[in-house]
Order: sequence, then structure tokens, then C-alpha cells
Amino acid sequence: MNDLERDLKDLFDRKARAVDTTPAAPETVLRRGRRRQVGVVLGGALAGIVVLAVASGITMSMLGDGRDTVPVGPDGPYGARTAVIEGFEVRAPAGWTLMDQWAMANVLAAGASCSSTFSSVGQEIGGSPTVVETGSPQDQVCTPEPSTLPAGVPVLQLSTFDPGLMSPACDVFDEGTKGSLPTDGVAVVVTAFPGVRTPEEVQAALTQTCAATPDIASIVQGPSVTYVTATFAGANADPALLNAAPGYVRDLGGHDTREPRPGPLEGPAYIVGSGVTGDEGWQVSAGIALDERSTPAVWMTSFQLDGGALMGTLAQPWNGGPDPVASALDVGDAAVAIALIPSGYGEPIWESDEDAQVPLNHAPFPASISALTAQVFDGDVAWGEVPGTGGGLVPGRT
Amino acid sequence: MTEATLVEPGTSSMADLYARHVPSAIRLAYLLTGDRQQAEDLAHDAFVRCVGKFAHLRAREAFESYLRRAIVNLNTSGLRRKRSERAWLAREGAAEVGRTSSIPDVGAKEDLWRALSTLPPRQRAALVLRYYEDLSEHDTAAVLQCSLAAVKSLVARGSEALRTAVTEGGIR
Repeated sequence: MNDLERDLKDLFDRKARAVDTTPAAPETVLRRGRRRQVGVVLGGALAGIVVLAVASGITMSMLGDGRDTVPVGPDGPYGARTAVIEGFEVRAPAGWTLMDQWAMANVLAAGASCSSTFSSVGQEIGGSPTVVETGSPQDQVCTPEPSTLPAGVPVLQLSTFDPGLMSPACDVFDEGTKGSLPTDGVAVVVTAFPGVRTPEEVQAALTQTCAATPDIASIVQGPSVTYVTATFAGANADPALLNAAPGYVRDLGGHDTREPRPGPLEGPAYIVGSGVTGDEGWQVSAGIALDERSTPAVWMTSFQLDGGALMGTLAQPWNGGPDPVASALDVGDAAVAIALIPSGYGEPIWESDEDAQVPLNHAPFPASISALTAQVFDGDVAWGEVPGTGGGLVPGRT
Repeated sequence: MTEATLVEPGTSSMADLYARHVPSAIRLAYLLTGDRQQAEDLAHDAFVRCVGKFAHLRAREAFESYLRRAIVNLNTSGLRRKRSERAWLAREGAAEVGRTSSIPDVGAKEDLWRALSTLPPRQRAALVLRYYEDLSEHDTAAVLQCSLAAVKSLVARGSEALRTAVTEGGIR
């Protein structure tokens, strides 16, 4: 060890000793930790679903962009994506709009609560509490209080048009209001109902809240929740698109023992991107954070393709400032960056610590979100695989 | 039906985890940032991030290495670095007026400390991990998520920059 190394060691020891710390955890940190764990439990549920998908022989190569097998739809800002939403794998063709509305079930459900963290295996049925089986090696389990699921609450919608985040083809948000559907529009919708429902009951309920007569593609009956996949078409819709639509949504099974759980981080969103990095899959959402101000945000989830363990979640809310906001999450051997880019900033380019420059994918942040938030974000959402979490957006580009 | 077996680590478990790991994490973060408040924020952010992902690890000792890695990653991320630098510059600018000379040895060490703040974050992190955390080059590479050769290079370049700065007295 040379003099400099000795000096550094002494310096570090002296400086570190001078730092006064307390072993008592601030309540704010514990609260953030608990919120984080709840978020991970939610993500873990997704990961568990992935395990089921693998077990049932469904190839996870579908988590690639699938451009070679999925036909291109109408013009739209987003490319082909694959996402997993509440037990349903959705392959969204380029140009189609995919909305994850499941978070609204948590908002609309009465009495849902998941305030702490648990470690367990298994499930309990026939009463409360309901146990979430994540399937991850950590076997995290959440025990929400009994909740009430609103009838016909939307889980997801894949459509040839952008209806706006809160104006889906089936509208349970405003009593007495039906959803919206353009005359040439096609939509495939998954909705959820509490308890056991007959096909007749489902048909009648959807007819009351949806924009057009539903063509029910499938009904998945679980002990506590009934999931319904249905297609809707306007009078001038392309029959080819209507025929193809149900095939884009695949029930992975395994979701019918769970009830809505509160989503402390993420609200309803558009799925804007997805990909596979190494042995992990990831999906990127642009939507509304469920905070006090309903902040516009971008977030992502990553999970192992082999084994199903959740690898991480990352949320990046908009801060209202003039500069872009960006974060990156370790995914596989690399990382995935997500960002919100104000208008006029130009092409988003991520610069790693090793000075490698990687252009990010980007598309307009969904306009309908700003209509629902106090804070308006008028710019692009960006995402892409980057060499590592170190680095950031190249500053000052116009 | 599978029998449920609920174990609630709950708040006390998380508080235990904090008590066991975060004080030393704050010290590490301080050596990386040179700023006490920034160090605490950094350690807390990293703890929250890790506690969500890894609190249920059966091998609890692994938590420390995950926390260390999260701290280094967060510190070297572009946005945080920008905030840290801004805060550091503001504080250093204000402190410049009242700075006095110290006894020679401490003064030299303070020069070294200031020189550290001029290093790129990954060079500084490599030096801190090697000479404070006493990590091997291999373990340092794992934390920095880079190759062994890159660690050697970061340490060599960082050391050279420090040596130059201190011997030439170019630290302000």
C-alpha cells in the first residue's frame, strides 16, 4: 500500500467516524418502505402470473415486440407491445391503444386495504383474508381486508382508437353513462365482476354500460371474481380487425383467486412500450400516479422470464420543471431507462458513464392524461435499453 | 385450499433492518457525496428501494451488499449527481469565505478531501469501495457493475488525479 492509499484510508476512516448517525429509523422512511413493499407485492402478483404462463407452455418470446406476427393497425403513436395485465397477456399491434385500467378497480373498490408486508406461501379461500400468491422465491403475501369489486370494472382495453383514459368503451365511472366508440372503431375489453355471474347476467350488465352490443369472447370464472373478455365494433368497423381483436388477449389463468388491491404508486395508464433484456421482461406505462396531486408519470415493471421473480418497479413522476426527468432500472445484464421529455427538448439520448450514447424510443405522452391531472405535461414519454443505470439524458438538446 | 401461513415482519422488522444497515450506509454515502444531508437522503432512498425488493431475502446478510450497490448506483445516476453537485456547490461557495488554514497534516488531508470531490463519481466510488469498504477489485467490480479492468482503470485514474491535485496544490 503506497502513501496515497494509506492517506486515503486514514481520511475515509476519519471522515466516516465523524458522521453522527442514529440507528432509529425515521417514520417517513419506514412509511416509504412499506409503500414500496406493497408496490412490490403488486408487481410480484404479475410475476406469479408469468410463472403460470411459463408452466402452461406459453412461450415468453411473445414478450418481444412481435412485429413479425402481429398485423399493423391504424395510425398511432406506439409500436407493437406485449404486456401482462391482471392475468391477461395482451399483444398490442402497432398503432392500437392499450390501456391498463386495473388500478381503477382499487380506487373504486370499497374497503380495500393492504397496509403492511407479509411473508408467506399459499392462499386462503372461503372468507377473508384473501392471500396473494406471488410465486416468487420470496413468497411475499399481502392480506387485504375484504373489498367490494364494482360490477363490470374495466381491467384493460385494446382498441383501434384512443378513447381517453377515463372514457373506455365500457364506462362504470359515471352512473347512467355508456362508454364511447367511434363508428369505425374496434375494441376488445376485459372487465371484472364480483362473485359468480352467468353469461346472461354478464351480457345484460355490459349492455347497460358499454357503447355497443358486446360480443363475448370468453368468461373466466373464479371463486370471487368473474372476468369477461368481449369485443365491440362500430357500425363501419373493418370486419378483419374485429375478427382479429379477441386473439390479441390471452387469459393466462391464475388470477381469479385475487381481489383488487390498492396501487399506491400507479394509476390507470397506457402501455407504451415493452421488451426483453437478457432473461427479464419489462413493460413501460404512461399514466397517472395515485398520489395526492394525480401527477402525470411514467413507470415500468421488470420480471424474470425464467422463474417469475419480480426484479423491480420504477416510477418517474413529472416534476413540473423545464428539464426532462429520467430514471433507469437494472434489467438483466443492462438497464432500462424511462423519461418524460418536455416539448422542444429534441431527441432523447441517454449517455452512460462510459460516454456511450443510446437514443431512446419516444412517443407523445398521451394527451388525454393531462385533461385529468392538475399538472399538464405536454411532451414525450421515452424509454429504452441502456448499458447501465449510471448516466443520464444528454442535457441541453433542443 | 392451501393453508395460509402468515408471518408479519411488519414495522419492527423494517426498523431492525434500518438499525443494522443504514448508519453504516450513511457513512458510505457521505464518503461518496461529501455532503451529510445528501448522504442521508441517498442512504434512505437506497434503503427504501432495497427494502421493497429484498426485505424478504432468506439470506439477510445479502441485504448489505444490495444496499451498497443501490447507494453507488443512485449516486452515479445523472439526475441525482446533478442535484448533489448543485447542493455541494452552493454549500462550498458559502463556506469558502470562512475557511482557515489548519495544522499541516489535517490541512493536507482536507486538500485530499477536496480533491476527491473533483473526481468523476465512479472514480470516487471505486476509491471509496477499495480503501474504505476494503472490497477486493472483484467485489468492487460487482458493485460498480463493470469489469475488473475497468475497476483497475478507475482506481488508477482516480489516484493519479488526486496525486496531481495535491502535489500541485491545485485544489480550491
